[in-house]
Amino acid sequence: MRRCFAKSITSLGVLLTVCSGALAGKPPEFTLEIRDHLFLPSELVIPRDTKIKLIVINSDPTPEEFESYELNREKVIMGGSKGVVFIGPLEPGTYPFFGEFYPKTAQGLIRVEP
Amino acid sequence: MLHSVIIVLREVLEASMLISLLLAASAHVGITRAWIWLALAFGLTGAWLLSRFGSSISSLFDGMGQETVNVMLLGLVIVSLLSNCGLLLKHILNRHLLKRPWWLLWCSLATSCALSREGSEIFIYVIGFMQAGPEGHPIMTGAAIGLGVGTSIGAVLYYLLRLTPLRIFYVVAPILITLVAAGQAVEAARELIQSGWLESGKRLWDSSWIIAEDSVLGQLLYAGFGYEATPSATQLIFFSFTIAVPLTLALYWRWQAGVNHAV
Repeated sequence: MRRCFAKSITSLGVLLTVCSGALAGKPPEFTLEIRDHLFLPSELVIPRDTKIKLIVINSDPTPEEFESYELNREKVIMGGSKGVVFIGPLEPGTYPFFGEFYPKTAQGLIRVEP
Repeated sequence: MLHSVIIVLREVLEASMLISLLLAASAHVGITRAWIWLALAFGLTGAWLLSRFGSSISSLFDGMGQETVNVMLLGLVIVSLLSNCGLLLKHILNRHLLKRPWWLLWCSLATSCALSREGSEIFIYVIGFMQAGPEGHPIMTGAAIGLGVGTSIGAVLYYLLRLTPLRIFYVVAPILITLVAAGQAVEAARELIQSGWLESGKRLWDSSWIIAEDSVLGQLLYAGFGYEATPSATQLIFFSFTIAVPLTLALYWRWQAGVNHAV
């Protein structure tokens, strides 16, 4: 009984450490701009196994939707405003994204370094 | 133009499948379908307000206003659908009289909230192109076609469900309502992950080689039940919990009905 109790206390401790670690480390920030229905830059290199904060600035007057099937993300960013999308942690590889409203031109790629 | 058909169709499908299911269920249990008019009015007004004040809403809560509103709307849809499913299951398994006011409330609430969310995206898209001048005209046509195709598919689904014999409908309906709710839960999980409030957990599998998300079947499954080709662990947890609620209720009520029968 006592051993079981000690065990659960230990695991709770581990859990708390993991959680606080996740809270303490601020995710690195990356910025992406939408201009003339293009993503600038169109390719973004991010570290592996890391959660990142992606700031998408829409400099066009029209709304756009940042979307990616591979990343499971979709967010409408109104004209002349910005939005934040958290991405990852991801395994190495390439993850395409696009602007759903202007997909012919608004195409981009996130590359996760090995 | 073809692209605008698909964008609008995707959003319309999600709402029209949910509405068809609830309308058919109301008809089968003998409750008026008049709630749809109120729900349409509320839903479309909500959608217009969300698109009209889209910029101001987005900038709320450290730029997470859009996610906050979406999660609240998705949450309301999930609660309403599960409550509806509960009422229906109790009616089927325990021959319990269906509580009419609650049924009407949950149907209206689910429809209004789903329409507000899906509709606002269509409004934002269409209004954006309306401001673009003449080059936006093909987009308008495309959007109108998308709306037409989406509602037509909803109508076909409705008549299919209406023609289903009651015995079969009573098996199919709770399953479909639960899956739609679970699909909304997957979307709510995505909103919470992308806004940084929840961790995504591991990417569990990649089924895009079987059903790609941008394929016709993938889009249909996404609209209906929130299909993701590469779901994260958190999304699967949300999906499973949503399914567990009506499943537990069904098992309990079935057991209870058995006990009463034995007595």
